[in-house]
Amino acid sequence: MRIFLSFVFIFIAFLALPLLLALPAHATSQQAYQDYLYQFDLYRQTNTDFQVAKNEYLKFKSLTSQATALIKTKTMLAQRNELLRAYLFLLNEKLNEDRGLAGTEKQLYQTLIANEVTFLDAHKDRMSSIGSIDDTVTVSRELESHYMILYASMRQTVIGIMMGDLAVLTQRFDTAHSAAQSLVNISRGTFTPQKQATLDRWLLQIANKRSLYQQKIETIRSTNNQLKGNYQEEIDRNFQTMQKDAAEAKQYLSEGTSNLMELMNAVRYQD
Amino acid sequence: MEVPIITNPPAPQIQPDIPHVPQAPSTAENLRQKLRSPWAGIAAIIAILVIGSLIFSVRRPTAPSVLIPTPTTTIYPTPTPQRTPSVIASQSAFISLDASIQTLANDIGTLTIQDPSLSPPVLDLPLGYPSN
Repeated sequence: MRIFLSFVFIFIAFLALPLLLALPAHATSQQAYQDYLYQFDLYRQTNTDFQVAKNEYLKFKSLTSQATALIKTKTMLAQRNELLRAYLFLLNEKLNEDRGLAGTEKQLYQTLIANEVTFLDAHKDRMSSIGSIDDTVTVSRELESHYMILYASMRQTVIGIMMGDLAVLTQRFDTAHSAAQSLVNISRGTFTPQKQATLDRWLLQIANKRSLYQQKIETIRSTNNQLKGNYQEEIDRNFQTMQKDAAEAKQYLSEGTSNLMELMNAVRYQD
Repeated sequence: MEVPIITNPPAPQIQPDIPHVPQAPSTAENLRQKLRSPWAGIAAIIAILVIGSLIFSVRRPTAPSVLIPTPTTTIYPTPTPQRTPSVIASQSAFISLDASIQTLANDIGTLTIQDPSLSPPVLDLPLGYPSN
């Protein structure tokens, strides 16, 4: 009996295993964010060790301090690379979860991320050939010279994710607006002319707000597509301008929704 | 011979050289001097004012005040105007649309434009080794 039961158990487990293996392992953005925080902690630690070893080497110039500085520098460079990869992976997961961006737009940002991940992988491969402190400086300069492009890509993707969040709400707004318009058109004969004129004015106001919102979105999209700079401060300045525009776009959407609520309130009563 | 009697002339009275010491004025003179100073005038004015305020602060007895009754108002709440609901208001399409717009308004209000979790890492890029 015992042998029979164990055989049945093994048979069931054998059947269930392929099903378990077939389930895709989706890494959510929350998991990616935890991994990014972990890599950031490691980077801070290795960076501190590197700074201490570097200062000791520069002070004493001994062979021992040089060897220690070389090891710590290599470790820091590798961890810096891992940190940037973890951040790009987080952005990618956020893009995967986004439901507002058009397919082509999402593809554009994911291509940007893929290009930067390719660069970081090549950068990591070059670290294996580091044999001296001069080599560490040479390898680090490769990242330093490419960093503005990488930084602009990161900022562009963040703006893209933000526009995706706004786009989700805009889709719902457009659906509600369209339904409200249909409702007003169907009930056109049941209201007095004055009441109908009031409802038409509300509809016009809502359309105006929607148009202003769209103008802001187009401005952000145009600026984001051309985002670049020679200095990080320049990129940050443009980034903050786009964030300010996004806040104004959100305000227009909010006002349009308030107008929709007023319209519904007006339709609720006969007079 | 007669001896002349020499009588010494009387010694002149030597008056002691006493410096001039002004004589202390008398009490009456002192008082008269004080009364002539400007501060005396100011003190006199202040004294008159204090005495006058004491005299006039004594109120004359007045007749008791008559209480005026305050009118009490009756509060009537403003009647809420009764509005006739439209035919559409009872339809399910209207009710569901109304609810979805309310939800949309809440979601727009809670949307954060600046996601702090997406801030890029701050890095120390140049290594800081001196170039050879």
